[in-house]
Amino acid sequence: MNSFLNGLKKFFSALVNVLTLLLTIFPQLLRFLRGLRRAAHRCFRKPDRGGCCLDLPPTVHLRADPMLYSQFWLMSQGLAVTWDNPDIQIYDMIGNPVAPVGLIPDQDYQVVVRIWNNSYGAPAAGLGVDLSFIHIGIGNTHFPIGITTANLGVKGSAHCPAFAKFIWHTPAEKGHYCLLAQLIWSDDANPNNNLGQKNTLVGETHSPALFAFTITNDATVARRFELEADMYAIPELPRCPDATPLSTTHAATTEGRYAESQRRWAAALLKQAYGMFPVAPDWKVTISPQAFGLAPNGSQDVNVSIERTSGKFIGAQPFNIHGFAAPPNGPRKLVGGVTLYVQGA
Amino acid sequence: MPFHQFTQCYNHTPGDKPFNESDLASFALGVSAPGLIAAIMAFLSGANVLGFIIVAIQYAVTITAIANEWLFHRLCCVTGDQCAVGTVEAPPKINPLLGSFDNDQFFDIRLMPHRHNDEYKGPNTAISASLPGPSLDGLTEFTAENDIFLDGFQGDLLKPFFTDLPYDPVDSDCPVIDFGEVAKGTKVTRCTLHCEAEGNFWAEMKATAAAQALAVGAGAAAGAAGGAAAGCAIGAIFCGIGCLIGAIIGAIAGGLGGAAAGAYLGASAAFNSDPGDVNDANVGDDPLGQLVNGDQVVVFGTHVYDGFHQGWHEIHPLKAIIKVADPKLAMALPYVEWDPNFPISDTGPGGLSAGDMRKGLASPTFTAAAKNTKNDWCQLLREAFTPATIHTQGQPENRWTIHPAVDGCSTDGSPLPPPPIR
Repeated sequence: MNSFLNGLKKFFSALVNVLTLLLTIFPQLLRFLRGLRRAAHRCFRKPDRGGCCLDLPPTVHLRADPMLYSQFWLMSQGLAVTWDNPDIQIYDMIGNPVAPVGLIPDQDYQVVVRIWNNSYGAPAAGLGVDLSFIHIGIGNTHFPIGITTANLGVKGSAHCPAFAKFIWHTPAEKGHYCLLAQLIWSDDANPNNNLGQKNTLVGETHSPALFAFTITNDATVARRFELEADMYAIPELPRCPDATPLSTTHAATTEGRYAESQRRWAAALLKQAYGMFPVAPDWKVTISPQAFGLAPNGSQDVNVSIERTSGKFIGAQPFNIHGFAAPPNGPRKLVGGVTLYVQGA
Repeated sequence: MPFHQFTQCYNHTPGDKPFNESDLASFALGVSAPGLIAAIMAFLSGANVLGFIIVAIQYAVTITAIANEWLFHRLCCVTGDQCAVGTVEAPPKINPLLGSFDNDQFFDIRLMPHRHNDEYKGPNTAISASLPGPSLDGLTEFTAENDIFLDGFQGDLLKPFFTDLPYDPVDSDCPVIDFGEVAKGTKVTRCTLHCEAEGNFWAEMKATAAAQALAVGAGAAAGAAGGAAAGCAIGAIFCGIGCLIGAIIGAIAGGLGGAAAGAYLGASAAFNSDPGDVNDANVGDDPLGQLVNGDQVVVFGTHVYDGFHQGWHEIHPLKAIIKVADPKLAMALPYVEWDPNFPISDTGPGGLSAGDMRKGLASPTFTAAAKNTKNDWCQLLREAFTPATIHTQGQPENRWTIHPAVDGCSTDGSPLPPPPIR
């Protein structure tokens, strides 16, 4: 009886609601008809909620996207890359930054890996970070440095970026090292942007600067290798607009996150696409050999000479050497690279 | 944040009773009574057009009143937004009645670090007598700390909060019942955390009530006219007055049928009103995938008492659910589940000893590991929903998509610094 009376009491307030709704009867009719059209499309079946599994909407089922500067991912999307990874930095044990070239053998160094999250909604607690290195010239074998974890917050939060710190004891043999950082996350919105490399060499310009490194075919089939050079460097960051900051809501209502993301990719491809940074006419880069075949586990020493063809050069100029490999009748794909810094006195 | 919220919990005061399944029919009758009486009077006096207009208006009023109760007078606020870590239990069956007229997505989680066998197989004794159990396998009772309601940890989310509202044991809508682990009809205390991601059905029903009323009114009128004509034709076969009797019966049946058809169309339109919005989505390059029984997750949402059922606490609306790291990969923050039969020669996740795994929450080491995992996850997830983070996410330097060094910007014009030593 109480609920009957309660219902009766609610009659008038609901009537007022309905009378208010009459003011918007035409938009309502449109909405109603749109719903009916969708219902007809689905043969008037209700959305399924049974079965074995939960199909939660992406508005609540969130996935983190832990990432770092990942050359393989960026180039697969058509962007130029540098092998001087901005998210991997080596420090000596008192905290001075050092380049990966000329490291003292049998010595402790600190390596910091910076991790970003491309998700606005999903953090990643206990994210695995695996650091290893390739001792170039020693068969290109991977040597583990360590695995640690980091707590990565959502984009824009106090816990993003997160940092993973390692102590690395360099091998007793002198050499050239390429550092590899791999993020480990099982439910990743984009697992392809989790591997970053830092691989650099430095040479003086005195007529010409000479570099040497070894390429090893670690595939189980013979492959043909091609090396390409460019002069891409990470551009100066533009100053952020001073205008009133966009709120997330504003951004979502004006164009939506997906559209914003598409727009940013398109803009980056206009300015930073692979192929847009050829070696300038006042430089000459000679790669020897530039193309060659390698049997499985076969190696090839490569020499690169870089010289200025006109004028004097002061400062440091990066040159990227990208390695591509293709199996017989297979597609060519990026297999690695190195950034060579030429220093002018 | 992109989650959908149409309901609003309210602050319960003593004496107030939230909208409940058992009151639904009489509530609907009460709110419909004025229109029903007016419509009958109109039809009896021959003002059929007016009668159908009243039917239409009353339909809209009834739908609106029920929607108001469903959206704003069903869920009692408990402790605000809460976060929990647990394991997905099989999706419960869909409720009859209004539960089936709802497009919420729901499921239960078993709170970490409990086993499925910790779940109660009858009314629990934790609240009445502070005693553990009765658990499914009877092993939880040996270490009271591992009883779900007595764990002093996440089980607090489930424990009764309101003293004047029922928390009755249930004989449906509970994993141990859905799994067939207790005899049919057995009443058990719910001890899993129910979570609901909101659909827009009732909000849409309310928003388009006037348009639906047109469908119901027109359907009733057309049905009545058709029914009367058919009834008359059939009745006339038997005798002269048969036409009149047949027409009356046909008009009533046709009117009800037509109204029901209009209401069905209205509900179908509401069920299919949400086209989804890819722009809200957590854009990823891999399919989102499904959540299945046994997935280990962290959930975040509003902690409420759902008065529509026998009374239980739940997360409603669910604002976020994230799979925790694969147990094989989780190193520092493992998902832990105690096990009284853990093999003595094995090591538990995160390096926990067999003894710790067997003691569960009776082991300080195990408890610390469980709390560490929950606290770290929940700190990060709460942070994602703070106004400060949401504001910062709108700043231009956080709108990058590819990488901050590629399509980012700098507040002071300086380049992206290398990762610092901390």
